[in-house]
Amino acid sequence: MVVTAGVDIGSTYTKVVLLDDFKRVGYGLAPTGASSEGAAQDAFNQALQMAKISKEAVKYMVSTGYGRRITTLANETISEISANARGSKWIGQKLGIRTIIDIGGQDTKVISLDENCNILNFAMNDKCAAGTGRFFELLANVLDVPLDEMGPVSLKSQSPVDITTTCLVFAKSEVAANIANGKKKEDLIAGIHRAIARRLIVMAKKVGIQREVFFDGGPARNIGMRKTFETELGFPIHVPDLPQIVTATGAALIAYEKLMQSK
Amino acid sequence: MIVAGIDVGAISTKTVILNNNQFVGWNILDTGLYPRQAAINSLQHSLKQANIAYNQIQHIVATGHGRKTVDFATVVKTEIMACAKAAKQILTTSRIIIDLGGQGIRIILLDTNGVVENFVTNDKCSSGTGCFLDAMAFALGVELKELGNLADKSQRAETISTKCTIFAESEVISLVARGKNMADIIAGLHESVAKKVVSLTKPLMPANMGPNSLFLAGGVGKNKGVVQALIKELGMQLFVPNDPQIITAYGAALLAPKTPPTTPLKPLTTTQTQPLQNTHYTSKTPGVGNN
Repeated sequence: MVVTAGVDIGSTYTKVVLLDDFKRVGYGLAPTGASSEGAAQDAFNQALQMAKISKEAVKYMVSTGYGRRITTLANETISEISANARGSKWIGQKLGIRTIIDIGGQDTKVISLDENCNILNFAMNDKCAAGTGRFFELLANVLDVPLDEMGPVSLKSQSPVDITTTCLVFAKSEVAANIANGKKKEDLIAGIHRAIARRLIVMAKKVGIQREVFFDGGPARNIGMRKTFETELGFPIHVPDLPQIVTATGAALIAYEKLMQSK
Repeated sequence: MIVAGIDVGAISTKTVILNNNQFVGWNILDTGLYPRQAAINSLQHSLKQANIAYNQIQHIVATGHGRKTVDFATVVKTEIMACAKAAKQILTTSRIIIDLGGQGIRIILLDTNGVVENFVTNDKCSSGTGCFLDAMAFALGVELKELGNLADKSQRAETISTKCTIFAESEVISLVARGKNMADIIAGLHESVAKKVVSLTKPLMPANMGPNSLFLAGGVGKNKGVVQALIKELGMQLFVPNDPQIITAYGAALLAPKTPPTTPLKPLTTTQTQPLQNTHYTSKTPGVGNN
């Protein structure tokens, strides 16, 4: 038994995954907040508890994500592109995945893979909040709908409202004006999903979209987002059971490989 | 001849009333969610100030983001044309107009005769707009109109590394949490706005541009911190009218035809209920002088 860990310190959530050999035995999530170190500790403790193992049993730890250099927990760091691709391969290679769409709390990424799930190319947006998890979060706030209900509510829409602005600041005003003009919430929410999907598809086309498409990151839990991607792309896509921890899983797998290499 | 120019902006609505080209009334209020109603309210406030009845007006020229909602206007003009007209009227040597609005940045290039030759806008992104400063003031817990004064005491502006309004919000909050000086953070925000604006302006600047060629319009021009940061970033003087916020409404009024309209003015019917808002500050003699 060799236990390794991956910690993915995202802008919004920090995720930890524990692997025992190649089996996922525990995971934890904590809001990153002001202290990414505290969040990493918190998520790590949750994962240890779930796996019922002690901290000392963890032989190697790799950190990834936007805050990966901040934590003192990890033995080394890796980019979130590599970690996400590694985690996606572990889950999705048998499905034949070639494209990863990853929506994070404050960024978006598209990674294209070859037939062995090695990275061919990627595109990333971390300069602009449009299309990120933050986009959902703030517009859910404007609409006074809990974030988790955005997806299910969007499915009720018969005619989504076009969101014409790109910037989140402008989209907030646009949504508010639409509410004032009597537009239905579900049509606005469906429109928000469509705007995000279209933005991501434009980015994905730059690296090339090949089937199968794998969708991960926190917003992949949203059923509305998945359905909208499928409508816009015209074919079904794959979402793992725990899309939020794919990148942390990848970091834990890389930790395992690093440990084996060093032996 | 009495004419009105109404500039229905994304954030505020401005009206200027001219009687034989003289200012007789003006007003600024929030556009809110109902731009048409904001235009009616702003016009009525200015008429009251000018002591003029609605039916004495010959032309109403609408401009700005919400101009198409002003169904009682006799003429509709783009904000580019209106702003250019006013800038040329106030500063005859204007070649470049920097118009900083609530949601829009517009840089207009005029030829030597004052004809619009080219323009660029901020397009999709709110970085550097009035909304950007508004969001930052909110995050810092200060009044938007106080930003200019608060930055006065800055010794060394903080670098704001993110351009995105949403991400910059988090960045300023973390700067505050790390105990950074408020004045330095605000000065850094002003620099960030200036950098964004100048990056849009530079490509339009003609090579042979003489002095007194740069004209500043728009509500953001009321922030002296932004004005100073712009002058520093441009390395050039900038003409700032007394009330830059009503320049485009003034330009719209100047664009009114000299002949009366063929049909009488439509009655002002109120369709939405929007409470009358407090009017904002306006200066005494708009359009003249250099701050």
